Amino acid sequence: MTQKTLIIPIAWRSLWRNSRRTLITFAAIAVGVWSMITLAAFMDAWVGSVVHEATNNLTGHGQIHQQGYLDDPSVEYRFSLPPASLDEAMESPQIKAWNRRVRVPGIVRSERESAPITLIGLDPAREVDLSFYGNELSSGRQPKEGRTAEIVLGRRLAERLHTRIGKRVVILSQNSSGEIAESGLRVVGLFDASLEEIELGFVFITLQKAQSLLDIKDAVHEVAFTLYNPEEVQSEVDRLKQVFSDLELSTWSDLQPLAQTMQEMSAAMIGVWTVIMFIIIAFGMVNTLLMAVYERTREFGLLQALGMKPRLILSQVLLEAAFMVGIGVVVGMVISILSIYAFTDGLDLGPLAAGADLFGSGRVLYPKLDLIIIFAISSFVWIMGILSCLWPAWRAARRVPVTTINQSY
Amino acid sequence: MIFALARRNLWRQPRRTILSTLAIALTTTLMVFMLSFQFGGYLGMIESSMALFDGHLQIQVKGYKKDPSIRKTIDNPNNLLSKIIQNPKVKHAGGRANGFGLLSSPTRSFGAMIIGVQPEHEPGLSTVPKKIVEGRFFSQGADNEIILGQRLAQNLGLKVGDAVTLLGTGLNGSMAVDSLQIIGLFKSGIPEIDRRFAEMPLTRFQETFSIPDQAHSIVLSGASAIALQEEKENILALLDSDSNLVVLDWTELQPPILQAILLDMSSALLIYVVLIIVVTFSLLNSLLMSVLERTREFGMLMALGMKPAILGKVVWVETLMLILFGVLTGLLFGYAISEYYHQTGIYFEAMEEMMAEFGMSGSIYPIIHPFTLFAGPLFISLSIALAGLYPILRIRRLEPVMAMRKI
Amino acid sequence: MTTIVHCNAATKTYGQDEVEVHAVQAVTVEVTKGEFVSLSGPSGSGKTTLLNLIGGLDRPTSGEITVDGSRVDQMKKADLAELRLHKIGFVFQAYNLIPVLSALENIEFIMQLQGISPDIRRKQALSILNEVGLEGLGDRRPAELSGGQQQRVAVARAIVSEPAIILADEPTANLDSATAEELLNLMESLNRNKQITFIVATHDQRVIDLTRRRIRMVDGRIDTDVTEAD
Repeated sequence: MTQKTLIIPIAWRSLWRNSRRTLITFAAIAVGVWSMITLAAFMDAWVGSVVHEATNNLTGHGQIHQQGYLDDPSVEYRFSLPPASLDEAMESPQIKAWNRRVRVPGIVRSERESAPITLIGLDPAREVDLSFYGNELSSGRQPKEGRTAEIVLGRRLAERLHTRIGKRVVILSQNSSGEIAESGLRVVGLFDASLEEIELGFVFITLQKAQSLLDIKDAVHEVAFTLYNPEEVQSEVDRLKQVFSDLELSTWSDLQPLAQTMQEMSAAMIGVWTVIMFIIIAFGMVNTLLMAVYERTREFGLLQALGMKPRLILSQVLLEAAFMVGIGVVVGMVISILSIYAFTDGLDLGPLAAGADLFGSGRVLYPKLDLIIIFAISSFVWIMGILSCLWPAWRAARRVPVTTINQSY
Repeated sequence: MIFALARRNLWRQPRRTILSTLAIALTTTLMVFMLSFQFGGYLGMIESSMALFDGHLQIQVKGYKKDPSIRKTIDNPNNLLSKIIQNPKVKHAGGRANGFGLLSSPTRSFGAMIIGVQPEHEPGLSTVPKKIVEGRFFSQGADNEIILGQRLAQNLGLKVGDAVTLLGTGLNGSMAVDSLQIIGLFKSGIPEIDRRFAEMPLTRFQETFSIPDQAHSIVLSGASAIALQEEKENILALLDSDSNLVVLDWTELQPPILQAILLDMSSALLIYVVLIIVVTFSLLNSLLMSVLERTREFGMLMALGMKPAILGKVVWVETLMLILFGVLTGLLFGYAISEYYHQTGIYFEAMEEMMAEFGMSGSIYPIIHPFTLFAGPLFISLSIALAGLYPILRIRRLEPVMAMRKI
Repeated sequence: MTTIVHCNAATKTYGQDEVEVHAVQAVTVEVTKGEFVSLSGPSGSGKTTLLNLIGGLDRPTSGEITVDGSRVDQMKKADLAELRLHKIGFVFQAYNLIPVLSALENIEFIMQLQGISPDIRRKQALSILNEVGLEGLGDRRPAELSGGQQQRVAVARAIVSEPAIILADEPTANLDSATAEELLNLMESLNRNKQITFIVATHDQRVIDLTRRRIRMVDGRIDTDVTEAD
């Protein structure tokens, strides 16, 4: 065991024989590691934003529909359940929030313009923790409870229609008998949503008003829910499938496959970048160590002459590599943690928000400090770094003492 | 003589030279390929998203894009068309009108965007005519014909040959009512489009929506959206100077695409900068070492009468040769890989769905362009050359005697 | 009167068939414990090579070499390392010390390799340091010591594990005359007081004059082998 303590001071001090070279190597490794970790964090934030937008825009983590609704989201494919059974089924410790909704296509008409919309009837109080609609409105208020003739529009839609709070609009939609039902409603509130298509396309009225307009009694088109632990969605969906055997149950990734794809792709991209960056850093590392070993050829010969076994010499050089890579990695880790921390309040994509919107992301990215990823990447670089230095280390140990000691520079 | 010296010096440490060359080559190949891929992707994105409906340029009434009111019309569109088609870069031009209405079948009703198009011009402006999956596109001089998105027809429960009722608001609040025969169904692959779009002949649209001899936009197409973008000024000149018409290119017709491209470019830029920094640092040590280890030798040369400036030049040439080897190799490989995939396309199974949003297939075709080929090598060379100056500055400061004493 | 080194027709040849270099040719010699031997001759005479063969740093092309009972020509690399660690001490012309360790640490190094505990190591190293006259300089690094001091540390390190034999290759070559003389006196007193066998390869006449047994080599063979009666 004294053998190990033997090589530690030699390995450590040898690093500092040429401080400038060592520091430059640290810099290269640190920047490389910084880029790996920071990229991972921001990609995660991006994906997180896409998933958040995907689930927050009324999708939730899972939904229940009538069979056939998803292909043809019209008034036909509605279902009604005895309230008791629905309440009981949704009364699960996993489920954070849930709500019933009427959801059909329709048209909104103001004095000046008309536009296609999705008409949604729901109880706004239950949307808290379920979707963006549970947040405060940008102006005005929610419709009063009951069959009130009041409506909430997206702010941009109101602009498009040249209407505002206090004015009236007409909603048209097909009812259960196949006729076009019409209703005049007063605009009482406006909402903001981060995705433009939502602000332009969704309008909200009370559940009862929607049901009466469409003449569907107590039926609804959709039940959406969110969970405390989104990872559990599949098991929760399976459970609900048992209870509601003739209805269709979907997870958010069924409903928004794009978001799922993004997740997978970003994981792949992070992996690829890490490997590429590592290869480039590795060149620098191996080169530096090769040079260091070459310079100390005579020293290694001496060590062997003194009776140090080749294996120990190998270990010493590897230990040097471990220190060198290790410090670079730690520095890289620290600056990336600082970088990520600097953006805990979010990175606002500002003028490029519409572009982000196109990809499905919100306009602010929130990078998280995922210690597991950070340690995973750092460990990868450290271990692979040491492994790639095996070659110079082996060369150091391999040399025959005679030739090295008598070697002239 | 300097070149010969430089060349021999590089081979004193073959392992180090090769490793450094490889590092530069790898980074160069990466940048060349990534740039080609990146811009190929952008071009594909632009062309695909414009190909479906937007064409390459559009003439509209000022303010129509932001606030598409049915009132904002272009008078006498055919007159304008004959003027515009004289521009040699414009291959096709046609008028369009946009409205909104309720389409009804006996059992169902759905709101839809109704587009009035000119059957004789439309096939050169949009890919919809190619995407007809049932029935056919409009015939010349068509009148009582309508084309629906396949999903829309399905949801309405209608087939080719059935009649569909249209109910909308025309100019000045007048009722737009019509009954049309479905002669074709199209499938774009984008669910939103297939569920909410319908096309009818422009002349019929003008009648139904009460906008006689008017249109909402003149759509132009040429070699590509990028190519026609350059013609914007010339087209504008063809219009009356006092008219309220504007010419919109792809950045104005689909601003999110431009922003998405900018967003991607900024993150890509960051990646490239990191690449260059890391490879430069990685090499800095090699460059430094190759000078420092020859300190004694340089001291001796200077003692013999060689000027430091010449020494500096030799080392400088060494660095440049190293960069040249690496960059040329990288450029060659980068070009080869990009060219190969340029022909075959890179298919991303996972991206297929995402691409459908943009109307693209799951394949990206890297482009070969002087910028994508040379920008990477240029910046890498600059960066390393700059870093290489540092060791040379140290040579200038050497004193022969001190240098020779060094071990 | 034990034999500590025995060479029997030891030969070392380098190179290919056309250009063969016979560095050492069929050398047979015996050294007994406690001798102070000088190995002299012009450059290329093979003295360094013979020293390397005896020390196990190189393998003979043919012949046998025995050091303290072990057949050096037959041993495996790992065993040779062990042998060098415990039985053989080296002093080279230059670059004897590990640059990043202090003088004291350089001396302790050998004992660490041997697995001796820290306290004992330290005590031994300090006492040896005093013996070679470098008291108080233990914490200096080689770069901070003069040439002569460095060589003393090298000698100290060579003897601290009490080896059977010390092989020195031109130890005084880089030293001025005064320092060289001091070093030689040190080696000679160690040889007298501790009965450590020395074989010194050198072309420095002062060293030769100091030794009792003088072996002279020419072109790879032993030319003369003289023991001064005392």
